[in-house]
Amino acid sequence: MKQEAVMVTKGNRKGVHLSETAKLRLTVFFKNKFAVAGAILTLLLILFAVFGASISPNYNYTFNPELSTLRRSAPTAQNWFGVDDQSRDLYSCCVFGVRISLMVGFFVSICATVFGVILGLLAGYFKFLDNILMRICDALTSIPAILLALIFVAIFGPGISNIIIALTVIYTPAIARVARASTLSVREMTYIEACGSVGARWPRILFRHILPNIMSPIIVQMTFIFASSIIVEASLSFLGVGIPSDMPSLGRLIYEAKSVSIITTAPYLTFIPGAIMVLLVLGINLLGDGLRDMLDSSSH
Amino acid sequence: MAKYLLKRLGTSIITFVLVSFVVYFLIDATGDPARQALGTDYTEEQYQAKLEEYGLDAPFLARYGTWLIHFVMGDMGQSFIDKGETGVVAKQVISGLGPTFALASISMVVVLVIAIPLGIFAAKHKNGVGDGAVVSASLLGISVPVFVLCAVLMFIFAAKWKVLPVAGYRSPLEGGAGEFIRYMILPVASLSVLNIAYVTRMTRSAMLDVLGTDYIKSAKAKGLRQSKVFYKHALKNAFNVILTVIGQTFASMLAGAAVVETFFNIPGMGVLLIKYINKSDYNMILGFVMTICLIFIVINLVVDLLYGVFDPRVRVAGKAVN
Repeated sequence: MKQEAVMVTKGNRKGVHLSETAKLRLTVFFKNKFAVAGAILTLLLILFAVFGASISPNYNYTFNPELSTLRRSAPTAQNWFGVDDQSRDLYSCCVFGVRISLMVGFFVSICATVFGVILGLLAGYFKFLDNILMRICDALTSIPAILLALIFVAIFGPGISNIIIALTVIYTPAIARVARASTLSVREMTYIEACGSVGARWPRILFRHILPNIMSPIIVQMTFIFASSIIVEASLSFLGVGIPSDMPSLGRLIYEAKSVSIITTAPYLTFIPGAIMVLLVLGINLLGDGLRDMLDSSSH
Repeated sequence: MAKYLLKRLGTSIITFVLVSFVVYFLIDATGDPARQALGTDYTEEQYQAKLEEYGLDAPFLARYGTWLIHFVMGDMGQSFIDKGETGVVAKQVISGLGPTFALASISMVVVLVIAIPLGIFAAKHKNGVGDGAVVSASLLGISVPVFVLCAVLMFIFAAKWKVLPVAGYRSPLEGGAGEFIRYMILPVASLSVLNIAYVTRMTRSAMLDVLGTDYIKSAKAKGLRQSKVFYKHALKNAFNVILTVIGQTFASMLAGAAVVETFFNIPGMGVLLIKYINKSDYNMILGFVMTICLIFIVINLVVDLLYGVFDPRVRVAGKAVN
């Protein structure tokens, strides 16, 4: 009996209806030129990170003594983006930098989502937890991300895992808020009441019945967290307290090429990593905007 | 109002004590200045002596209490690494505050003077060309990191055209106002451009929200002049939201200032804090981090109190009504 009731509620939610919604969603998404541009841009940069190393004639992002005579030289057939101030092939450094950015964005958005969803579901479902959890979220979000990350690094020290932990703590409240708000509205619905009355316990109600129905706004929020954690990581690396200096992250590359003499004589060393950074973040933001419009349109 | 003021002040003080406890605890738990000073080769007696010298042998709560009282009195202690004048934490914090506040507040004024009229304009001419430009510019604004913008501006104005100095900071007290402004133009521009886009967009949507309410409709219906409806009735009520945005923007500017300072070699809070992070100078880090937290608590307090000034409902109910 209990099993049956659950099956019915599930059946109503996913059935013929979903494929119609999915079709509508895809049409809306592909009609939106900005969203498609964002998706293509993001895809290209992911391909760049994955295959960038294997298509290059000489992939080496570390100091290369052979290149020391070519320091600050312009792009050539051998060194596609030129050679940086520290005798490294800038193309290889950029491939590695995009990998770091994507990795930080990926881990932070996944971890923040997991913790944020759990906290948000609990806060939305149990009234007594709501006040405490949301006040903590308020406190964390009132301080700008870069500064909070800087304070974290000041206390725990620099390094890639510390940055991912710090950014996870910083962005968990953003997901928790969205999850809480959606949970508050979904928990009042009849099918949740039905679940309760057939004897489903709270973990099952929360994770099997509420969670799938609040995923859309969370996915949108995830893309924005992805983009902003990339910016914060790059800013910290730019400040010299992010990724260790032997790993060329995009922010670090720009920091090393920020001196006046480089900007005057070899501006490509500053602007190639800068442009890649902007394209990456812009692509993900456009994709996020597109996803939001897509999910909004199908809910009306 | 007095009750509201006291209540908010009380919350701020509690927040400050809590935050300071957490920060003190974490820095205390992760760092060991005595070991750092001794290097690798030392005996247990030497270590104990060093702890005593630094005053680290007292129990945690006693040390925290002393530190908190001293901090409130304006004495942030002495660095364990730098001796003499350069090691006085409060002196370093104050020397960093000057440039950072100059940078952030000038940028704030620039943002307000440009963004609020622009936002009101965009709301007035909804769906027009300018409106579209504002929306797209703000998307670009959140995608361009501050340091990329710094590089672009430095390249154009300092490297190519050579009209402005490349980097550095001139105190207005020493070099005069002219030099100070010349050195400030590029940093201020880098810091404000992106925030202009954001504040414009928020002002626009706050105005549009208010313009859709019933009391604006009835004001129009009873035949009030368009400009009076717009500036007296709508703007006044949109101001609460705009105030929140201003508070957030000032906070994010203080954070963004760290990046701009690094780019343009301005000896502000951000640059100094990073210097001490790299040196693992715990007392300095503690002083800087707590000062930054204090600034944020004060900004939040001021914004909340201003709500009360602008909105009588807040004074009565004791909280913001949205």
